[in-house]
Amino acid sequence: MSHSPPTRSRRLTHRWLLVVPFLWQVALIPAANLDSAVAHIPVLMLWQMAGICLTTIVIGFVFLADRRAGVDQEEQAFIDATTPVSGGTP
Amino acid sequence: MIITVALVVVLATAAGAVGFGRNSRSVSVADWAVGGRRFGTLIFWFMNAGEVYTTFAVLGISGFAYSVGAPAYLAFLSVSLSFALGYWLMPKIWRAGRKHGLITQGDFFSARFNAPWLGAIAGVVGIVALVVYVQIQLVSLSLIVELTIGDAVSQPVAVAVAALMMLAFVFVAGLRSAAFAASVKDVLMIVLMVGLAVTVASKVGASSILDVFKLAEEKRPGIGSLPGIDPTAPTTSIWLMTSGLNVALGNWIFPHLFQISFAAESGRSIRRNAIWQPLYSLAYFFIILLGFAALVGGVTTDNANGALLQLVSAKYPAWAVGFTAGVSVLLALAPGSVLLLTTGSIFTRNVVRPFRRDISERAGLLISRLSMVVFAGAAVYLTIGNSQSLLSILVDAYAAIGIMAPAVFLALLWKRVTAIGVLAGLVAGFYALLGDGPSSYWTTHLAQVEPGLICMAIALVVTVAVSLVTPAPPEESRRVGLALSAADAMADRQALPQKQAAE
Repeated sequence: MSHSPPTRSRRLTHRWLLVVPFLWQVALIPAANLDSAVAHIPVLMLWQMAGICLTTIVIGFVFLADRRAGVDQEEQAFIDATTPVSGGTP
Repeated sequence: MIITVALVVVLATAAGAVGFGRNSRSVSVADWAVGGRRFGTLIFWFMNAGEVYTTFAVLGISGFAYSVGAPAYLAFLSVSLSFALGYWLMPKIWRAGRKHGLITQGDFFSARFNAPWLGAIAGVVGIVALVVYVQIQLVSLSLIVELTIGDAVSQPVAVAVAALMMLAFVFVAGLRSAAFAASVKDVLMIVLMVGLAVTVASKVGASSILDVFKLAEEKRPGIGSLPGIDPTAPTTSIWLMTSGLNVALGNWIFPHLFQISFAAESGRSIRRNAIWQPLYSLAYFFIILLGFAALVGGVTTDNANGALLQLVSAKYPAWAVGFTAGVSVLLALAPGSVLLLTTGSIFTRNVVRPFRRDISERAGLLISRLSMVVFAGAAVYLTIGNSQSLLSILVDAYAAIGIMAPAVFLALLWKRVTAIGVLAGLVAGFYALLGDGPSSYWTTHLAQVEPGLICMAIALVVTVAVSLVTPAPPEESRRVGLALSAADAMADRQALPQKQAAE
């Protein structure tokens, strides 16, 4: 084995960004619950739809940051280590 | 005309699903129940989307928008928050499944806590919730038949035929056929929603889509913001916040969604899916729009879940009504088939196997299939004669299942959590949710807070407290939930020959 798999705890602090959708779509509901509309669409409805788009952006960013942090290689090592050896038991 | 178009849509999908599955006949329970752990990103995407857009999502949310207004925005929170959490959670479940050959949620509990009895309890609770969930699909299916096709087909017959079709989707090839049906259904649903949304304004006397929102606000002032149409309703900001959290935390605890993680070929497929899945939930814009349009168009009904179908029946030509009926039926059939498949695999793995360790793959597969037929029969039996609102049933089921959430999260995060602790948490949570005293206390004193979230918190506290005073499971079991890195997997593999030699 020429390389040891990266330790997982090392560089995954960016995963905390996954809290952002909860801040936008949950914590800020009272602030976005206005009795008004933009182009007739209620503000809270637009706010939540924007939150969905934001979630995709945040998760996409975390996905790329994970890749840079070596999560894909670590996972390949995991897959190799859990693939049944031919003739053996899983 | 209506019935012909509807039948063409449903039967063509059924034939496709069965045909698609025929080339990959399942030989083991793992093949059948989790697709041999080989689902790539695309099929995994459709599998997940398939379980999000059920008849509840479409008829229930449009009906909710029609009858109460803004609280229907809960749909916008459900998918994105579930996947923000799932990005972290699902790959862990997948790793545990791959490393230890797990197929069901009960398998996970059983292995993680070294307690097959806990797996059996989780299994039975899961089966009950899933049968209720299948029943919800069948209730809406009979509503669809009633409102679109009318008297041409009797409801008990429609429900029984629907259950048979759900079984047909998964009986032979299992999850792979269900995935095919789910993909067809999702493509057709988007076509239907966009088609209805772009034409609906003129049908209800509005000048544009935006005008529908304006007219709805004029007709029912306050519809667009919380608490919704009724200014005294408990559906305030607090309600939406707690309900959103409850849905996100409880989502992956549903046995069939937990089990979906096992079907992925890699954690990467799961993570990539999590990026795109939320965007698909923007489709709720069309669904809520159609609920508002039903209100503007003057639909009157006692059953809000029928509002969308009544709107289509009243304002659209027969072929469009038939297409809507066919797609709506698929919205019940495709998710329902996955629910049934899950009940079959749980029954075999977690209820029968603890007593009969020696059953072969072949026998296991047979038991799974036959028990699935029995559970389908139970759902049909429960359906004929039911009239409770779709939403309240689902929210109850969600809340009851959510009580298992602390057990799942703690199993992946905390080495001290014990089987007795989990059991105590489940009992306390169920009592807090369903007991007469507590449930009336929540509704009088904490009316705006989703009770499921309160009961989840109670289950968490009790699980932690009891775990601290009971002996932790053995190291080997703890590793099922906590030792999931590549280094751990390598260490376990190297330890294997020594262990075998020692035995």
